[in-house]
Amino acid sequence: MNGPGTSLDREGLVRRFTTALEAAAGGVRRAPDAVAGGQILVEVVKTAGGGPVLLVRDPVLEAAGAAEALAAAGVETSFWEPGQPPNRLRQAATRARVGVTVPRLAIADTGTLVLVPAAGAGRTVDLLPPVHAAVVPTARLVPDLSAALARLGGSVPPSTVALVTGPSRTADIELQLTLGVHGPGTVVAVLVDGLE
Amino acid sequence: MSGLRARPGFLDRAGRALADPLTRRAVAAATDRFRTARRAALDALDDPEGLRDRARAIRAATLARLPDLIDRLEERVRAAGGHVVRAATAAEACGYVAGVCRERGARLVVKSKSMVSEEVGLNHALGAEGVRVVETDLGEFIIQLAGEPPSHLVAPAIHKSRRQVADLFGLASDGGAEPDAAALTAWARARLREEFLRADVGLSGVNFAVAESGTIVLVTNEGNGRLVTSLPRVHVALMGLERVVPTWNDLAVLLTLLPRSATGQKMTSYVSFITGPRRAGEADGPEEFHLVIVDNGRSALLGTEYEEVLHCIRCGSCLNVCPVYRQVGGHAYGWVYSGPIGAVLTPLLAGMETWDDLPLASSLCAACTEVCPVKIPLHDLLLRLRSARVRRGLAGAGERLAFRLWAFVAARPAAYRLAVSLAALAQRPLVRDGHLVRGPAPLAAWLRDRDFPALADRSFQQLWASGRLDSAAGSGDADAGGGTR
Repeated sequence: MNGPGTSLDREGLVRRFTTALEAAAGGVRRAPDAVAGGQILVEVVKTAGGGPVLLVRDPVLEAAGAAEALAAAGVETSFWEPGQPPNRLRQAATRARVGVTVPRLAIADTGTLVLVPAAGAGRTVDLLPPVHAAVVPTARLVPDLSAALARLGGSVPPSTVALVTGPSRTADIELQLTLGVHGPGTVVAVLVDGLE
Repeated sequence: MSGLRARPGFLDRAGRALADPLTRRAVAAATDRFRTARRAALDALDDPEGLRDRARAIRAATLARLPDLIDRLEERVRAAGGHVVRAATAAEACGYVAGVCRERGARLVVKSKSMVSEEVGLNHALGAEGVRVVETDLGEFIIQLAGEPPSHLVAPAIHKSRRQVADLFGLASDGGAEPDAAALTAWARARLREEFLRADVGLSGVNFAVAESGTIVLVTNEGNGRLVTSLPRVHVALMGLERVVPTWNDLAVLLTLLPRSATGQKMTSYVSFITGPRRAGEADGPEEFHLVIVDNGRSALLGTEYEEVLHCIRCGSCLNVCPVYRQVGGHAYGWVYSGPIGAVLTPLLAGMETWDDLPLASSLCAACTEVCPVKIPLHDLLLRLRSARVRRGLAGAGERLAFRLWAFVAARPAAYRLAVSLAALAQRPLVRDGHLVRGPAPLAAWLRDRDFPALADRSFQQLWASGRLDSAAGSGDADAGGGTR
C-alpha cells in the first residue's frame, strides 16, 4: 500500500470521492491549481443562476482569489464576518443564492464534506442558501469515515461538526425523491490541487 | 381471540389497517424499497457480518457498564458548557423541557424527529403549557397536521397520498392539476423556513451520544436537524438512556451500519456532531445546550432476559422484512414503536398488561433477527414475552384450557392416536380442497382469514404401522396435509 500523500493514492481518492458524491446527487469539479479553482467557482455560481454569494473567511478562498473572481464576473458577494450581529449574518445567509464553504476534510468512500464552523465560518453558510459550493484542497481527502472521525474526535472535539453528503433530500411524500427540502438542492465540490 | 378482549387490541387495529388499500400499497412499496437498498448497501461492505458482530459487541459492552458511561457523558457535556438532566419518567422529561421553555419565555419550538419525545408525549405536554411545537421533518410535519401517529420508523407519512398532503397543506386544487411531490416539498420548505427563523427553542433527538467527549450525533437527510440545532437560542436534545456509545471508534462502526440498514445509503445527507453550546469567538449557534437523558423503564431491563432490546439503534430494518408489519403497517401496533422491535419494546416500556397481545403479532419467522445490524434475537425475545404473558395469567381461559388439553393428549400415545382419528372424522364437513376452511368456536376466529391444512385420512403412525409409508412418501406431494385425499 502507498503511504498517504503519494500522487497515486491521491488520484484513487479523487476517483472514489467523485463516484460517491455523484451517486448522492452532488456534483464534482476539478481544478489543477488555486486560481483555476476560483475560476471554476465562478462557473458554478453562474450555472446556479448567479449571486448573491456568501463566502466563509478562509485562506483557501483567498488563495483562489474567489471573491475577486466573482466580483470581476459581476456577482454580488459578501463574507461571513464574525464581528457582525447574528441576525445580520442570518439575513445574509437567508438572502444568498450560493453559500461557499471550505471543508476541513472530505471523505472519499462516501463523498462527504466535513464542515467545522469557526470564527469566519458560521453553521448555516452551506445550509440556508439553495446552492452549496465547497472548495476542497485535494490534500484534505481521507479514505473513510473512521479516518475522518479519528481526526475530529478525541475528548475535546469542536462545538459542532457537520458531515454533508450531497443535497438535502426527502422521500416522505409517496416515496418520490425530492432534493432541497430544508437545505440546498444543489451541492458542488470544487477539488483544488496544490493547496493544503 | 379478539372476541375475548374488552378493549381494542392489535387485531382490531390490524383489521382497520387491512381495510385501507392505499396504506397497504404504500407500506408495501416503502418496505420493498428499503429492504432492497439495505441488502445492496450491506453487500457492498468488505465484511458485513464481521461489522455486525463488532456492532453487537460494542452495544453489549456499553450496556454492561451503562451507569459509568452515563456519568462520563454527563461530566463531558457539563465540561463543554451544557446542562444535563436525568429523567426517570416521561413526566419528569416533559416537566424539565416545559420548565426550560417557561424560564426563557419560549412560545415557539421547532423540532426534528425524535422517537423518545413521542414516547414521553412531549408535544402534548408543551402544548398544554401554551407552547407551539412544530415538527420539521417533512413526514412528521405532515402527520402532525393530520393529527396521526407515524406509520413507519423512518418514513412516518408513507400512508399519505399526494392529494391528502395537498389538502393538509391547504392547497386543495379546484379541478386544477394535482401538485407534485416537488411542489409540495417546496411549499413546506418555505413555510417551515419561517418557523426555523422565528423559533425560540430547537428540540432534537439523539442517534448516538459519545461518552468520551459528551458529543451528541444526529443523522438526518433533510437538514432540519441541523437547522433546529443551529438557529434557535436554546437547543434541547432528548435521548433514551441507551443511546450512549463509549468512544469515537465505536461510533464509526455504528455510524457505518445505521444509514445502510435504514435506507441503504452509505451516509445520510447530514450527520451532525454537537458538543455543548456555541463557544467563545463563534458567531452563531445556540447559547444554551440541554441534554435530557430519559430512562422511562429502560434501566429496569438491564440484567434481565430482555436486556438485548436496548441494543437497538432504531434503523427500522426489522419492520421492512416483517411479514406482519408489511401487511398491517405501523398504526396497528398502537404506540410509537412498530414492527418487531415495537412488538418487543412496547410491552416492556409501556406495560405488559396493556400490550400483551403485541408479541403475538409475529409468525416467528426470524427475518427480523436476520437483518438486525446489532443482531438482537428479536424472535427469541418475542417468545420470551409470550411465555411471560402465560406465566402472568394474561392468556385467556380458552387458550389455557386448549394448551392443557394438548399437553395431556401429547403426553399419552393412546389418547393422542384416538384424538387424531376422531379429529380426522370430525373435520370432514369442514374441509374443502384438503384445507380446513371453517371450524367450531375456538378455531372460528383464526379460520376466518386463513385456511389450515386438513388432517390426512391416514395418519403418519397408521402409514408407518401398515408399512405403506414408502409409497405414500414417494408420491412427491409436499402438501402432506391435503395431498392424500
